[in-house]
Amino acid sequence: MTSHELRPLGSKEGRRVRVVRGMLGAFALVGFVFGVFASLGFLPRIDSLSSYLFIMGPVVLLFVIVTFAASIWYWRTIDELARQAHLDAWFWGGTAGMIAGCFAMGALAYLPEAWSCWALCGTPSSILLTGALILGVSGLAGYAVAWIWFWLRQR
Amino acid sequence: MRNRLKVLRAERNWSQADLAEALDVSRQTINAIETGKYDPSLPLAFKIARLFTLPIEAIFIDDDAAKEAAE
Repeated sequence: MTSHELRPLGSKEGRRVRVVRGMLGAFALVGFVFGVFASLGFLPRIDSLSSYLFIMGPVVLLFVIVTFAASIWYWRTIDELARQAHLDAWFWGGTAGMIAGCFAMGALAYLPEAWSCWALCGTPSSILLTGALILGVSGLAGYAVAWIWFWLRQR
Repeated sequence: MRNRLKVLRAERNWSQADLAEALDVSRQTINAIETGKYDPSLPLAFKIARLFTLPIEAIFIDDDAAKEAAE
């Protein structure tokens, strides 16, 4: 900088971005550990519906509120190109991924008999959860591919 | 949309990182604008114009308008 003085018009928010990313990472880690413990049977089962709602309701609500607040905070700290990357990724990657997931679910009905039980022999609720998982994973996978593609195009 | 951001920045001997910090955006955003891969939002375009103390049309070139004027 020589003849023209550069006047900052805003402040750097890098530290806040790192904090929010750390929080989201910590949530993902807590969820992963919780899932591992649950799948290994280390967590006690809750047999009564009222107890379940009393315990899980506030837990789920807390996670939704904290995650939503962290997401808003994160959104406000990133700049417009980073926001555009998320918007493009959700629209193109997320929707394309979920459409692919829908076709994948339809294709499950035509699996060879030896394999069809993998997805279709459970209880109605487990089949429903399998479908939700396929949609969620395919949407996220599409999102990730589109997000990476967006940034590769900027290089 | 083309722009003169790289030229204006070079005239002032500012790096992409300097400009990014002044505009509170990432260096990738400055690079994407300079290479024409990303058109900034109107608020950011005004911010850029304010920083360079130039009108927006002196920085960003509307190719369609230039084509119409030539016809």
